[in-house]
Amino acid sequence: MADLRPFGASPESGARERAQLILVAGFVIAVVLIALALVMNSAIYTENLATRSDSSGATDAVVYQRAVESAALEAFEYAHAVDGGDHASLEANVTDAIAGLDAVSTQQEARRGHVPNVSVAGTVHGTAIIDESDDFASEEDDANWTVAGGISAVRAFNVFVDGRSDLRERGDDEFRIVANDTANADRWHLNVTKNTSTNEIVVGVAAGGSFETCRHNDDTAWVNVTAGTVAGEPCDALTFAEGVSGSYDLEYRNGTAVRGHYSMVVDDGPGRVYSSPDSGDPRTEDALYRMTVDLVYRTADLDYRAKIRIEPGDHDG
Amino acid sequence: MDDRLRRPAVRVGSRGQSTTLDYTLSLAIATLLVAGLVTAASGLVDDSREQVVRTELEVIGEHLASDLVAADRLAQSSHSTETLTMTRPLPARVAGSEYTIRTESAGSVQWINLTASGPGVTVSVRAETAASIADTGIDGGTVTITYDPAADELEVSS
Repeated sequence: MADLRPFGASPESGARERAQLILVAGFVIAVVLIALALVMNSAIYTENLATRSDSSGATDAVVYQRAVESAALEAFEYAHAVDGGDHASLEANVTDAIAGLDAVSTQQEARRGHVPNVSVAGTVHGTAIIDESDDFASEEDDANWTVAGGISAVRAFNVFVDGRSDLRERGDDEFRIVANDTANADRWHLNVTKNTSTNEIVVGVAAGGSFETCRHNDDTAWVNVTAGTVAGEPCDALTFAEGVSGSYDLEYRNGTAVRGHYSMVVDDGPGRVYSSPDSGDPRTEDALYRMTVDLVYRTADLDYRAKIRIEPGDHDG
Repeated sequence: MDDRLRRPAVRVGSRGQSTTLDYTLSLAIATLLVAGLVTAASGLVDDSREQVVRTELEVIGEHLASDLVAADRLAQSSHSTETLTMTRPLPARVAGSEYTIRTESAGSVQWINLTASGPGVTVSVRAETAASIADTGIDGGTVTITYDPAADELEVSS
Protein backbone atom coordinates (compact mmCIF):
# COMPACT_ATOMS: atom_id res chain seq x y z
CA MET A 1 0.00 0.00 0.00
CA ALA A 2 1.11 3.51 -0.80
CA ASP A 3 2.66 5.62 1.81
CA LEU A 4 0.16 8.21 2.94
CA ARG A 5 2.62 10.73 4.25
CA PRO A 6 2.49 14.19 2.59
CA PHE A 7 4.16 14.48 -0.82
CA GLY A 8 7.77 15.47 -0.73
CA ALA A 9 7.89 15.41 3.05
CA SER A 10 10.48 13.44 4.85
CA PRO A 11 9.49 11.49 7.93
CA GLU A 12 11.47 13.98 9.89
CA SER A 13 9.58 17.03 8.59
CA GLY A 14 6.52 16.34 10.79
CA ALA A 15 2.89 17.12 9.80
CA ARG A 16 3.41 20.72 8.84
CA GLU A 17 2.93 20.11 5.09
CA ARG A 18 -0.69 19.16 4.59
CA ALA A 19 -2.04 16.82 1.89
CA GLN A 20 -4.64 19.14 0.27
CA LEU A 21 -5.32 16.85 -2.67
CA ILE A 22 -6.15 13.87 -0.49
CA LEU A 23 -8.28 16.06 1.74
CA VAL A 24 -10.26 17.53 -1.16
CA ALA A 25 -10.70 14.11 -2.72
CA GLY A 26 -11.84 12.67 0.57
CA PHE A 27 -14.34 15.47 0.93
CA VAL A 28 -15.72 14.95 -2.58
CA ILE A 29 -16.09 11.22 -2.02
CA ALA A 30 -17.85 11.88 1.28
CA VAL A 31 -20.35 14.12 -0.53
CA VAL A 32 -20.83 11.44 -3.19
CA LEU A 33 -21.48 8.83 -0.51
CA ILE A 34 -24.05 11.08 1.16
CA ALA A 35 -25.77 11.52 -2.23
CA LEU A 36 -25.73 7.74 -2.65
CA ALA A 37 -27.30 7.32 0.80
CA LEU A 38 -30.08 9.76 -0.14
CA VAL A 39 -30.73 7.91 -3.38
CA MET A 40 -30.87 4.61 -1.50
CA ASN A 41 -33.31 6.23 0.91
CA SER A 42 -35.55 7.07 -2.06
CA ALA A 43 -35.26 3.48 -3.21
CA ILE A 44 -36.39 2.22 0.19
CA TYR A 45 -39.29 4.70 0.15
CA THR A 46 -40.27 3.42 -3.28
CA GLU A 47 -40.34 -0.15 -2.01
CA ASN A 48 -42.46 1.01 0.89
CA LEU A 49 -44.82 2.82 -1.48
CA ALA A 50 -45.10 -0.25 -3.67
CA THR A 51 -46.37 -2.38 -0.82
CA ARG A 52 -49.18 0.01 0.15
CA SER A 53 -52.60 -1.23 -0.84
CA ASP A 54 -55.76 0.66 -1.68
CA SER A 55 -56.21 3.28 1.00
CA SER A 56 -59.04 5.29 -0.53
CA GLY A 57 -61.73 2.71 0.29
CA ALA A 58 -62.83 2.22 -3.33
CA THR A 59 -62.84 -1.54 -2.88
CA ASP A 60 -64.90 -1.23 0.31
CA ALA A 61 -67.30 1.03 -1.57
CA VAL A 62 -67.78 -1.61 -4.29
CA VAL A 63 -68.39 -4.26 -1.63
CA TYR A 64 -70.87 -1.99 0.15
CA GLN A 65 -72.64 -1.14 -3.10
CA ARG A 66 -73.02 -4.84 -3.92
CA ALA A 67 -74.25 -5.62 -0.40
CA VAL A 68 -76.84 -2.84 -0.56
CA GLU A 69 -78.00 -3.96 -3.99
CA SER A 70 -78.43 -7.52 -2.81
CA ALA A 71 -80.15 -6.54 0.45
CA ALA A 72 -82.46 -4.06 -1.28
CA LEU A 73 -83.45 -6.70 -3.82
CA GLU A 74 -84.28 -9.13 -1.03
CA ALA A 75 -86.25 -6.46 0.85
CA PHE A 76 -88.15 -5.66 -2.34
CA GLU A 77 -89.02 -9.28 -3.03
CA TYR A 78 -89.83 -9.96 0.63
CA ALA A 79 -92.25 -7.01 0.69
CA HIS A 80 -94.12 -8.44 -2.29
CA ALA A 81 -94.09 -11.95 -0.87
CA VAL A 82 -95.46 -11.13 2.58
CA ASP A 83 -97.24 -7.83 2.30
CA GLY A 84 -99.80 -8.26 -0.44
CA GLY A 85 -101.27 -4.86 0.35
CA ASP A 86 -101.65 -1.71 -1.69
CA HIS A 87 -98.89 0.52 -3.04
CA ALA A 88 -98.60 2.61 0.15
CA SER A 89 -98.21 -0.48 2.28
CA LEU A 90 -95.54 -1.94 -0.02
CA GLU A 91 -93.66 1.36 0.01
CA ALA A 92 -93.74 1.53 3.80
CA ASN A 93 -92.45 -2.04 3.96
CA VAL A 94 -89.43 -1.46 1.70
CA THR A 95 -88.66 1.94 3.25
CA ASP A 96 -88.56 0.40 6.73
CA ALA A 97 -86.33 -2.42 5.52
CA ILE A 98 -83.86 -0.02 3.89
CA ALA A 99 -83.83 2.19 7.02
CA GLY A 100 -82.93 -0.88 9.06
CA LEU A 101 -80.14 -1.75 6.61
CA ASP A 102 -78.84 1.82 6.86
CA ALA A 103 -78.72 1.72 10.66
CA VAL A 104 -76.82 -1.57 10.76
CA SER A 105 -74.37 -0.77 7.97
CA THR A 106 -73.58 2.70 9.34
CA GLN A 107 -72.52 1.15 12.61
CA GLN A 108 -70.41 -1.52 10.90
CA GLU A 109 -68.66 0.85 8.50
CA ALA A 110 -68.03 3.53 11.14
CA ARG A 111 -65.51 1.18 12.78
CA ARG A 112 -63.31 1.62 9.71
CA GLY A 113 -63.87 5.35 9.56
CA HIS A 114 -66.17 5.10 6.57
CA VAL A 115 -69.51 6.87 6.42
CA PRO A 116 -72.24 5.18 4.36
CA ASN A 117 -75.84 6.17 3.90
CA VAL A 118 -78.64 4.39 2.10
CA SER A 119 -82.26 5.43 1.65
CA VAL A 120 -85.20 4.89 -0.69
CA ALA A 121 -85.21 7.67 -3.29
CA GLY A 122 -88.48 6.68 -4.89
CA THR A 123 -90.68 3.93 -6.25
CA VAL A 124 -92.62 3.40 -9.46
CA HIS A 125 -96.03 1.86 -9.00
CA GLY A 126 -96.93 -1.18 -10.98
CA THR A 127 -99.43 -3.98 -11.22
CA ALA A 128 -98.84 -7.70 -11.11
CA ILE A 129 -100.94 -9.71 -13.57
CA ILE A 130 -101.18 -13.38 -12.69
CA ASP A 131 -103.13 -16.23 -14.23
CA GLU A 132 -102.83 -19.71 -12.79
CA SER A 133 -106.00 -21.04 -14.36
CA ASP A 134 -104.29 -23.08 -17.09
CA ASP A 135 -105.45 -20.93 -20.00
CA PHE A 136 -104.35 -17.79 -21.82
CA ALA A 137 -107.84 -16.53 -22.65
CA SER A 138 -109.34 -13.36 -21.21
CA GLU A 139 -111.82 -13.15 -18.38
CA GLU A 140 -114.56 -13.28 -21.03
CA ASP A 141 -112.80 -16.24 -22.67
CA ASP A 142 -111.64 -14.21 -25.66
CA ALA A 143 -108.72 -15.82 -27.49
CA ASN A 144 -107.48 -12.50 -28.90
CA TRP A 145 -107.28 -9.80 -26.25
CA THR A 146 -105.19 -7.06 -24.70
CA VAL A 147 -103.64 -8.04 -21.38
CA ALA A 148 -102.49 -4.51 -20.59
CA GLY A 149 -102.75 -1.39 -22.72
CA GLY A 150 -100.65 1.77 -22.71
CA ILE A 151 -97.71 0.35 -20.77
CA SER A 152 -94.03 1.15 -21.23
CA ALA A 153 -92.29 -1.56 -19.24
CA VAL A 154 -92.78 -5.16 -18.17
CA ARG A 155 -90.67 -7.14 -15.74
CA ALA A 156 -90.64 -10.70 -14.45
CA PHE A 157 -92.71 -11.91 -17.38
CA ASN A 158 -92.79 -15.70 -17.02
CA VAL A 159 -94.85 -18.06 -19.13
CA PHE A 160 -95.25 -21.76 -18.44
CA VAL A 161 -96.21 -23.67 -21.56
CA ASP A 162 -97.65 -27.15 -21.43
CA GLY A 163 -97.07 -28.72 -24.83
CA ARG A 164 -99.01 -31.92 -24.19
CA SER A 165 -102.24 -30.53 -25.60
CA ASP A 166 -103.57 -27.64 -27.67
CA LEU A 167 -100.15 -26.37 -28.75
CA ARG A 168 -100.33 -25.91 -32.52
CA GLU A 169 -97.93 -26.32 -35.40
CA ARG A 170 -96.48 -23.11 -36.75
CA GLY A 171 -98.86 -21.09 -38.90
CA ASP A 172 -101.86 -22.97 -37.61
CA ASP A 173 -103.47 -20.32 -35.37
CA GLU A 174 -100.36 -20.27 -33.27
CA PHE A 175 -100.26 -18.62 -29.83
CA ARG A 176 -98.60 -15.20 -29.88
CA ILE A 177 -97.54 -12.59 -27.37
CA VAL A 178 -97.52 -9.20 -29.09
CA ALA A 179 -96.07 -5.85 -28.01
CA ASN A 180 -97.95 -3.46 -30.25
CA ASP A 181 -97.08 0.22 -30.44
CA THR A 182 -99.83 1.47 -32.74
CA ALA A 183 -98.79 5.14 -32.50
CA ASN A 184 -95.34 4.47 -33.97
CA ALA A 185 -96.36 1.38 -35.97
CA ASP A 186 -93.77 -0.73 -34.11
CA ARG A 187 -94.58 -4.33 -33.43
CA TRP A 188 -92.78 -7.18 -31.73
CA HIS A 189 -94.09 -10.66 -31.28
CA LEU A 190 -93.23 -14.03 -29.87
CA ASN A 191 -95.00 -17.24 -30.80
CA VAL A 192 -95.00 -20.60 -29.11
CA THR A 193 -95.58 -23.63 -31.34
CA LYS A 194 -94.88 -27.32 -31.38
CA ASN A 195 -92.91 -29.31 -33.89
CA THR A 196 -94.80 -32.61 -33.79
CA SER A 197 -92.18 -34.56 -35.74
CA THR A 198 -89.36 -33.74 -33.29
CA ASN A 199 -91.65 -33.18 -30.30
CA GLU A 200 -90.03 -29.85 -29.59
CA ILE A 201 -91.54 -26.71 -28.16
CA VAL A 202 -90.47 -23.90 -30.50
CA VAL A 203 -90.31 -20.29 -29.38
CA GLY A 204 -90.12 -17.91 -32.34
CA VAL A 205 -89.35 -14.21 -32.10
CA ALA A 206 -90.15 -11.67 -34.79
CA ALA A 207 -88.31 -8.41 -34.30
CA GLY A 208 -87.03 -5.84 -36.76
CA GLY A 209 -88.04 -7.84 -39.83
CA SER A 210 -86.24 -11.04 -38.84
CA PHE A 211 -87.62 -14.22 -37.36
CA GLU A 212 -85.52 -16.51 -35.20
CA THR A 213 -86.35 -19.49 -33.03
CA CYS A 214 -85.25 -21.28 -29.89
CA ARG A 215 -86.18 -24.90 -29.25
CA HIS A 216 -86.72 -27.06 -26.24
CA ASN A 217 -87.13 -30.80 -26.51
CA ASP A 218 -89.67 -31.50 -23.79
CA ASP A 219 -93.41 -31.53 -23.14
CA THR A 220 -93.34 -28.43 -20.98
CA ALA A 221 -91.22 -25.28 -20.87
CA TRP A 222 -90.81 -22.15 -18.80
CA VAL A 223 -90.31 -19.17 -21.07
CA ASN A 224 -88.90 -16.20 -19.20
CA VAL A 225 -89.85 -13.54 -21.71
CA THR A 226 -88.10 -10.58 -20.09
CA ALA A 227 -84.95 -12.48 -19.10
CA GLY A 228 -84.72 -14.08 -22.55
CA THR A 229 -84.55 -17.73 -21.52
CA VAL A 230 -86.39 -20.88 -22.64
CA ALA A 231 -86.44 -23.67 -20.05
CA GLY A 232 -83.59 -21.94 -18.26
CA GLU A 233 -81.38 -21.84 -21.35
CA PRO A 234 -80.48 -18.43 -22.79
CA CYS A 235 -82.29 -17.68 -26.04
CA ASP A 236 -80.31 -15.14 -28.04
CA ALA A 237 -83.24 -14.21 -30.26
CA LEU A 238 -85.47 -13.39 -27.31
CA THR A 239 -85.18 -9.74 -26.30
CA PHE A 240 -88.51 -8.51 -25.05
CA ALA A 241 -90.15 -5.67 -27.05
CA GLU A 242 -87.01 -5.21 -29.18
CA GLY A 243 -87.52 -2.27 -31.53
CA VAL A 244 -90.59 -0.98 -29.66
CA SER A 245 -89.64 2.30 -28.04
CA GLY A 246 -92.88 4.03 -27.08
CA SER A 247 -95.71 2.83 -24.89
CA TYR A 248 -97.43 -0.23 -26.22
CA ASP A 249 -100.27 -2.70 -25.76
CA LEU A 250 -99.42 -6.19 -24.61
CA GLU A 251 -101.70 -8.58 -26.46
CA TYR A 252 -102.33 -12.31 -26.60
CA ARG A 253 -103.35 -13.87 -29.92
CA ASN A 254 -104.97 -17.31 -30.06
CA GLY A 255 -104.89 -17.63 -26.30
CA THR A 256 -106.88 -20.84 -26.53
CA ALA A 257 -104.11 -22.51 -28.55
CA VAL A 258 -101.94 -23.10 -25.51
CA ARG A 259 -102.21 -24.44 -21.98
CA GLY A 260 -100.21 -23.14 -19.05
CA HIS A 261 -99.98 -20.13 -16.82
CA TYR A 262 -98.21 -16.79 -16.66
CA SER A 263 -97.30 -13.87 -14.47
CA MET A 264 -95.80 -10.42 -15.03
CA VAL A 265 -95.48 -7.00 -13.48
CA VAL A 266 -96.27 -3.97 -15.66
CA ASP A 267 -95.63 -0.34 -14.82
CA ASP A 268 -98.52 2.00 -14.09
CA GLY A 269 -98.10 4.49 -16.90
CA PRO A 270 -100.71 7.12 -17.66
CA GLY A 271 -103.55 5.74 -19.74
CA ARG A 272 -102.92 2.09 -18.91
CA VAL A 273 -105.82 -0.28 -19.31
CA TYR A 274 -106.24 -3.78 -17.94
CA SER A 275 -108.72 -6.19 -19.41
CA SER A 276 -109.25 -7.73 -16.06
CA PRO A 277 -108.64 -5.19 -13.30
CA ASP A 278 -109.89 -7.41 -10.51
CA SER A 279 -109.30 -10.76 -8.88
CA GLY A 280 -110.85 -12.70 -11.76
CA ASP A 281 -108.99 -14.55 -14.48
CA PRO A 282 -106.32 -13.19 -14.75
CA ARG A 283 -106.10 -11.46 -11.42
CA THR A 284 -104.28 -8.21 -10.77
CA GLU A 285 -102.51 -7.09 -7.64
CA ASP A 286 -100.81 -3.89 -6.61
CA ALA A 287 -97.04 -4.14 -6.90
CA LEU A 288 -94.04 -1.89 -7.10
CA TYR A 289 -92.53 -1.85 -10.55
CA ARG A 290 -89.25 -0.33 -9.47
CA MET A 291 -87.49 1.02 -6.42
CA THR A 292 -84.61 3.47 -6.59
CA VAL A 293 -82.16 3.51 -3.70
CA ASP A 294 -79.82 6.42 -2.97
CA LEU A 295 -76.38 5.34 -1.84
CA VAL A 296 -73.67 7.53 -0.36
CA TYR A 297 -70.25 6.24 0.69
CA ARG A 298 -67.59 8.53 2.10
CA THR A 299 -64.10 7.92 3.35
CA ALA A 300 -61.22 10.32 3.93
CA ASP A 301 -60.22 10.03 0.27
CA LEU A 302 -63.45 9.03 -1.44
CA ASP A 303 -66.84 10.61 -2.07
CA TYR A 304 -69.25 8.32 -3.89
CA ARG A 305 -72.95 8.80 -4.58
CA ALA A 306 -75.05 6.56 -6.75
CA LYS A 307 -78.57 5.46 -7.43
CA ILE A 308 -79.35 1.77 -7.47
CA ARG A 309 -82.39 0.57 -9.41
CA ILE A 310 -84.14 -2.45 -7.99
CA GLU A 311 -86.24 -3.93 -10.74
CA PRO A 312 -86.12 -7.75 -10.57
CA GLY A 313 -86.70 -9.48 -13.88
CA ASP A 314 -86.38 -6.34 -15.97
CA HIS A 315 -85.44 -7.05 -19.56
CA ASP A 316 -82.87 -4.29 -19.87
CA GLY A 317 -81.41 -4.68 -16.40
CA MET B 1 46.23 6.84 1.86
CA ASP B 2 43.54 5.18 3.70
CA ASP B 3 41.89 8.56 4.21
CA ARG B 4 41.89 9.46 0.47
CA LEU B 5 40.38 6.12 -0.51
CA ARG B 6 37.54 6.51 1.91
CA ARG B 7 34.47 7.82 0.17
CA PRO B 8 31.76 9.78 1.81
CA ALA B 9 28.72 7.71 2.82
CA VAL B 10 25.79 7.96 0.27
CA ARG B 11 22.38 8.61 1.76
CA VAL B 12 19.75 6.13 0.58
CA GLY B 13 16.71 7.76 -1.15
CA SER B 14 18.41 10.71 -2.77
CA ARG B 15 20.30 9.03 -5.58
CA GLY B 16 20.29 10.70 -9.03
CA GLN B 17 16.80 11.94 -8.83
CA SER B 18 15.55 15.48 -8.78
CA THR B 19 13.14 16.51 -6.06
CA THR B 20 10.94 18.39 -8.57
CA LEU B 21 10.44 15.35 -10.80
CA ASP B 22 9.65 13.21 -7.79
CA TYR B 23 7.06 15.71 -6.62
CA THR B 24 5.45 16.17 -10.06
CA LEU B 25 5.18 12.44 -10.71
CA SER B 26 3.64 11.76 -7.31
CA LEU B 27 1.17 14.60 -7.77
CA ALA B 28 0.17 13.45 -11.28
CA ILE B 29 -0.38 9.83 -10.25
CA ALA B 30 -2.34 10.83 -7.16
CA THR B 31 -4.49 13.27 -9.17
CA LEU B 32 -5.19 10.59 -11.75
CA LEU B 33 -6.20 8.07 -9.12
CA VAL B 34 -8.39 10.51 -7.20
CA ALA B 35 -10.06 11.80 -10.38
CA GLY B 36 -10.80 8.24 -11.46
CA LEU B 37 -12.27 7.44 -8.09
CA VAL B 38 -14.47 10.54 -8.02
CA THR B 39 -15.69 9.99 -11.59
CA ALA B 40 -16.57 6.37 -10.91
CA ALA B 41 -18.36 7.23 -7.66
CA SER B 42 -20.39 10.04 -9.18
CA GLY B 43 -21.27 7.82 -12.16
CA LEU B 44 -22.52 5.21 -9.73
CA VAL B 45 -24.68 7.81 -7.99
CA ASP B 46 -26.11 9.04 -11.30
CA ASP B 47 -26.91 5.51 -12.43
CA SER B 48 -28.51 4.63 -9.12
CA ARG B 49 -30.53 7.82 -9.11
CA GLU B 50 -31.85 7.21 -12.61
CA GLN B 51 -32.77 3.65 -11.69
CA VAL B 52 -34.51 4.78 -8.51
CA VAL B 53 -36.43 7.50 -10.37
CA ARG B 54 -37.53 4.97 -12.97
CA THR B 55 -38.68 2.47 -10.35
CA GLU B 56 -40.48 5.13 -8.33
CA LEU B 57 -42.26 6.49 -11.42
CA GLU B 58 -43.32 2.94 -12.27
CA VAL B 59 -44.70 2.44 -8.75
CA ILE B 60 -46.54 5.77 -8.84
CA GLY B 61 -47.88 4.99 -12.31
CA GLU B 62 -49.12 1.57 -11.20
CA HIS B 63 -50.80 3.12 -8.15
CA LEU B 64 -52.52 5.73 -10.29
CA ALA B 65 -53.57 3.09 -12.83
CA SER B 66 -55.01 0.87 -10.09
CA ASP B 67 -56.89 3.87 -8.66
CA LEU B 68 -58.29 4.69 -12.07
CA VAL B 69 -59.39 1.09 -12.54
CA ALA B 70 -60.92 1.02 -9.04
CA ALA B 71 -62.77 4.28 -9.71
CA ASP B 72 -63.95 2.91 -13.04
CA ARG B 73 -65.19 -0.31 -11.43
CA LEU B 74 -67.08 1.69 -8.83
CA ALA B 75 -68.52 4.04 -11.46
CA GLN B 76 -69.72 1.15 -13.61
CA SER B 77 -71.11 -0.93 -10.75
CA SER B 78 -74.41 0.91 -10.34
CA HIS B 79 -76.97 2.07 -12.88
CA SER B 80 -76.32 5.72 -12.27
CA THR B 81 -73.28 7.04 -10.48
CA GLU B 82 -73.91 10.66 -9.54
CA THR B 83 -70.67 11.68 -7.86
CA LEU B 84 -67.34 9.95 -7.63
CA THR B 85 -64.28 11.76 -6.38
CA MET B 86 -61.19 9.95 -5.19
CA THR B 87 -58.06 11.57 -3.76
CA ARG B 88 -54.69 9.86 -3.77
CA PRO B 89 -51.67 11.33 -1.99
CA LEU B 90 -48.67 10.64 -4.22
CA PRO B 91 -45.13 11.92 -3.58
CA ALA B 92 -44.47 15.37 -5.06
CA ARG B 93 -40.86 14.50 -5.94
CA VAL B 94 -39.06 11.38 -6.99
CA ALA B 95 -35.46 11.09 -5.74
CA GLY B 96 -35.34 14.84 -5.42
CA SER B 97 -36.65 15.79 -8.85
CA GLU B 98 -40.12 16.97 -9.88
CA TYR B 99 -42.22 15.00 -12.31
CA THR B 100 -45.33 15.39 -14.45
CA ILE B 101 -48.26 13.04 -15.10
CA ARG B 102 -49.93 12.98 -18.51
CA THR B 103 -52.91 10.82 -19.42
CA GLU B 104 -53.22 9.91 -23.04
CA SER B 105 -55.70 7.85 -25.02
CA ALA B 106 -54.52 5.86 -28.00
CA GLY B 107 -57.66 4.33 -29.43
CA SER B 108 -59.26 2.17 -26.79
CA VAL B 109 -56.06 1.98 -24.72
CA GLN B 110 -55.28 4.56 -22.08
CA TRP B 111 -51.73 5.38 -21.07
CA ILE B 112 -50.35 7.23 -18.09
CA ASN B 113 -47.01 8.86 -18.92
CA LEU B 114 -44.84 10.01 -16.05
CA THR B 115 -41.81 12.16 -16.81
CA ALA B 116 -39.16 13.20 -14.30
CA SER B 117 -37.37 16.37 -15.36
CA GLY B 118 -34.09 15.77 -13.49
CA PRO B 119 -32.62 12.66 -15.08
CA GLY B 120 -35.04 12.87 -18.06
CA VAL B 121 -36.81 9.58 -17.44
CA THR B 122 -40.26 8.77 -18.91
CA VAL B 123 -42.33 5.80 -17.83
CA SER B 124 -45.61 4.70 -19.46
CA VAL B 125 -48.18 2.62 -17.62
CA ARG B 126 -51.27 1.19 -19.25
CA ALA B 127 -54.73 1.51 -17.67
CA GLU B 128 -57.71 -0.41 -19.02
CA THR B 129 -60.99 1.18 -18.07
CA ALA B 130 -64.51 0.95 -19.44
CA ALA B 131 -64.97 4.71 -19.14
CA SER B 132 -62.64 6.91 -21.17
CA ILE B 133 -59.94 8.95 -19.45
CA ALA B 134 -59.66 12.64 -20.29
CA ASP B 135 -56.27 13.71 -21.71
CA THR B 136 -54.65 15.94 -19.10
CA GLY B 137 -51.20 16.92 -17.87
CA ILE B 138 -50.52 17.73 -14.23
CA ASP B 139 -47.58 18.05 -11.86
CA GLY B 140 -46.84 15.20 -9.49
CA GLY B 141 -48.23 15.25 -5.97
CA THR B 142 -51.65 14.54 -4.55
CA VAL B 143 -54.04 13.74 -7.39
CA THR B 144 -57.82 13.72 -7.57
CA ILE B 145 -59.76 11.36 -9.82
CA THR B 146 -63.22 12.59 -10.77
CA TYR B 147 -65.90 10.75 -12.71
CA ASP B 148 -68.16 12.66 -15.07
CA PRO B 149 -71.37 10.61 -15.45
CA ALA B 150 -72.67 12.66 -18.39
CA ALA B 151 -69.61 11.95 -20.53
CA ASP B 152 -68.78 8.60 -18.89
CA GLU B 153 -65.26 9.91 -18.41
CA LEU B 154 -62.62 9.86 -15.69
CA GLU B 155 -60.41 12.87 -15.18
CA VAL B 156 -57.16 13.14 -13.27
CA SER B 157 -56.46 16.55 -11.72
CA SER B 158 -54.10 17.89 -9.11
